[in-house]
Amino acid sequence: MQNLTLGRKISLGFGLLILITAVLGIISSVQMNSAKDGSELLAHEYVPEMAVAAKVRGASNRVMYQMRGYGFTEEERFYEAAQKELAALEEGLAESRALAEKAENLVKLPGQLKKIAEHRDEYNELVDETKAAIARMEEARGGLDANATQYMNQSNAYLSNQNAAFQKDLADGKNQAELTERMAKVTLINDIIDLGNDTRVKAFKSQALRDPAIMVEAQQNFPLIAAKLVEVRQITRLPRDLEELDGIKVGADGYSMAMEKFLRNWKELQDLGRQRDEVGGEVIAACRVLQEAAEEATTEISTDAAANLAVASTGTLVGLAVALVVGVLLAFFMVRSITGPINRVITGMKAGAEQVASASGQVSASSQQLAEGSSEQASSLEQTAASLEMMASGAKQSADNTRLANSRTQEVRQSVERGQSAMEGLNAAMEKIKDSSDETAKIIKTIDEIAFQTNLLALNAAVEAARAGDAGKGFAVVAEEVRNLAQRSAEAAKGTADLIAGSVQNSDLGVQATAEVSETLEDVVKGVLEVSGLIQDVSSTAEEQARSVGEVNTAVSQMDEVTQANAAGAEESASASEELSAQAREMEILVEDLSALVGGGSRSAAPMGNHASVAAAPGKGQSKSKPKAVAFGSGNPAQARNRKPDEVIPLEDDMYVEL
Amino acid sequence: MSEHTQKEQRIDSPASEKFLTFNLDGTQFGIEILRVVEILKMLEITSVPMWPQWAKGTINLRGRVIPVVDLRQKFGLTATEETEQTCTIVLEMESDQIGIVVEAVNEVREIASHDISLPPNIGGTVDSAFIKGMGKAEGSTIILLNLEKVLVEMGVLGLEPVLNGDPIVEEPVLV
Repeated sequence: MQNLTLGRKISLGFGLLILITAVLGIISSVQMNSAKDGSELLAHEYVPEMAVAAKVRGASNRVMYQMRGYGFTEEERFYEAAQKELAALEEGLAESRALAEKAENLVKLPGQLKKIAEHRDEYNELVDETKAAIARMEEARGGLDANATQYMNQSNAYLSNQNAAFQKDLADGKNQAELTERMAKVTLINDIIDLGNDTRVKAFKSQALRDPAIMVEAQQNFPLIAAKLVEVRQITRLPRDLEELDGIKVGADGYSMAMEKFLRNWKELQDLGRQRDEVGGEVIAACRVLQEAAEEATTEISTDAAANLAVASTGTLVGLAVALVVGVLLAFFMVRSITGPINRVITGMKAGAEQVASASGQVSASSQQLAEGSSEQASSLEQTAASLEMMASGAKQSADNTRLANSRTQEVRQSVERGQSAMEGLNAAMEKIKDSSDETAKIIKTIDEIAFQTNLLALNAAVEAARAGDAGKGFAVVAEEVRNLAQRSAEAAKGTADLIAGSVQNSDLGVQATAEVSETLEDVVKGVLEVSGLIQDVSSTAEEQARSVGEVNTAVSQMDEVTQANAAGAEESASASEELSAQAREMEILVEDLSALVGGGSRSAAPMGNHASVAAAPGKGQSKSKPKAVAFGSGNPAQARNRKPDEVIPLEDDMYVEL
Repeated sequence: MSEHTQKEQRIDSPASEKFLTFNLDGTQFGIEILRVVEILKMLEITSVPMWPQWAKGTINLRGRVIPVVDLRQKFGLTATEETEQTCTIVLEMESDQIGIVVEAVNEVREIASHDISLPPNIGGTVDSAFIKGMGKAEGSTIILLNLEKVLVEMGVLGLEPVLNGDPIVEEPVLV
């Protein structure tokens, strides 16, 4: 911790806090997100699921209600209302399907929707059947009325006929038996009318009370009617009456059949009503399932969300507490660790400022001396430059001379080389002379040999001549002459051979001499080459020297410039040292401010010591630094002269120990 | 002695006589020209075993085998060095021909009889019998050889017996 830089310390502290905050934020965010996800799930899936389930259920209920009403009342408006509600149900189903397509988590929805759709289709069929059944009932009801009317009309007609006949009989004064028969007829027809009325009453009552049992009871009248009709037919004789009785019979039969039909349809309608209720119940059950599932999920999600939020809240609270504690600790330690080093820096800077002040005095004095020295140096440099110019011209001349010598040497070398090649030619010529001499010697030898053989021949001839005696005398003379010639030719050959030997010897000597000369020439070439090399060396050295002198010259002029600049610089540095002193003072003030900023209480004590020590320094500086000395002397030297920085800022040491 | 005189007389008889002169170790020798058959350049010599050193061997002269003697060696000198001038002189001795090797042949010289003197007698055991006489000619002296003595009495012409198988005893005459 102590070794870290200030920036690192602060960064570390804040980093730690930021880290804690970030961790808290991430935890909270994660929990919130989880809650949010749950809520979104609720909002987008489960609640809509519930809503559509409720809608479908309500629509189903209303459809069932309206249909039940239709079934009971057979009124068209109920049917229309039911159709409307069915459309609402369709709407609800469409919404549900859209939801099922969109939602991912609603597991039960598609299955239940399918079930609902199936039941709805079934229900629709039932509705159609119901409508058909009602239509049939209406028809049956019409049959009922028609037949009843015919029955009653025929019966009444028959009765009025009998009544009229009875009146006539009474007026005719018919006998007892005829009258009784007539009476019986009237009574029977009245019974038939009564039975018909009873049946009708029961039929209406049954329909009014919605009780088929009454109608079933009414049906029991039809055998009685039939019996009565048989009875009355037995005593009826008039064809007109018989015809009417037939009409009554047809009416009674039709009525019975219509009732039968009506009852059957009624029963069917009742069955349909039950089936509708069952199917509707299924739809509602499916809706309930959906609602329950949605409720369950909603409850679960809410519980989870509550738990998550609780965790997030707790975590945030704990994290905040930790962050607070860490922050407080960090702030405490960082303040301690920052103020400590800064205080040390302040102390150091104070001491530095003092030293800068004293040093600037010394710099001022040195600058003065430097200026003087520089001007002296400048004059001696001018002299040096003049000498160097001379040297440079000398070096240049010697370089030129050596270049000349070099070219001369090259010429000599070429001459010697020419001589050498000439010597080689000479050598070859000598060798040729020698060769031809040898050839000549060979020829001479041949001549000599011929001479010898001629001599021998001459001698042999002489011998032969001698042998021949006097006859050979002339021949002997010829032989002698031949011998003489041979001898002379031998002598001449010998002389020539001697001469040629001498010439060969001389050419040998010549060759030898040529070889020596050639050798000498080679030595000369070698020598010339060496000389040439040496001269080249000398030449390059001289050129180098000339260049070096030029460089030295340049350097000297640069030195001159530098010296001039030095002189000027010395002046400037003298004034700059004054500036420096002023800046040291400013630095002291800044240090005071800093000290106050860090330590607070040490402000008043700090600045004094510096002034004193700075004031002491410029005393060494001579003429140039005087004004600065005065400026610094204006401080309060006596007050804080002996104070040490530690006294000024008393906190540090303890802090360091702690940190 | 009588034979010697006989010869001198024979020499004396004509006014002059022709000699073939040749050199041997710086000295001029002469032989009667009528003895000379032919002067030859050096031919190839076939050496013969068991012959004394001075008998150099034989040469084939146109199909005839002729013994050759090195006269220098015969005279007790070193063997003749062969030069361009070295020659073989073929001589006719009685019925035989014989070759002698000489350093150089000089000339055919006619020497008057009065210019021929007897060989000098220095007395003692030194035998001068092989010298026929000393011919004087233009300031120089020519030793005229008695070829019979040189070649026959000194055993040269006895070479035939050698060829026939009789060893020849070294001649101590000139040594």
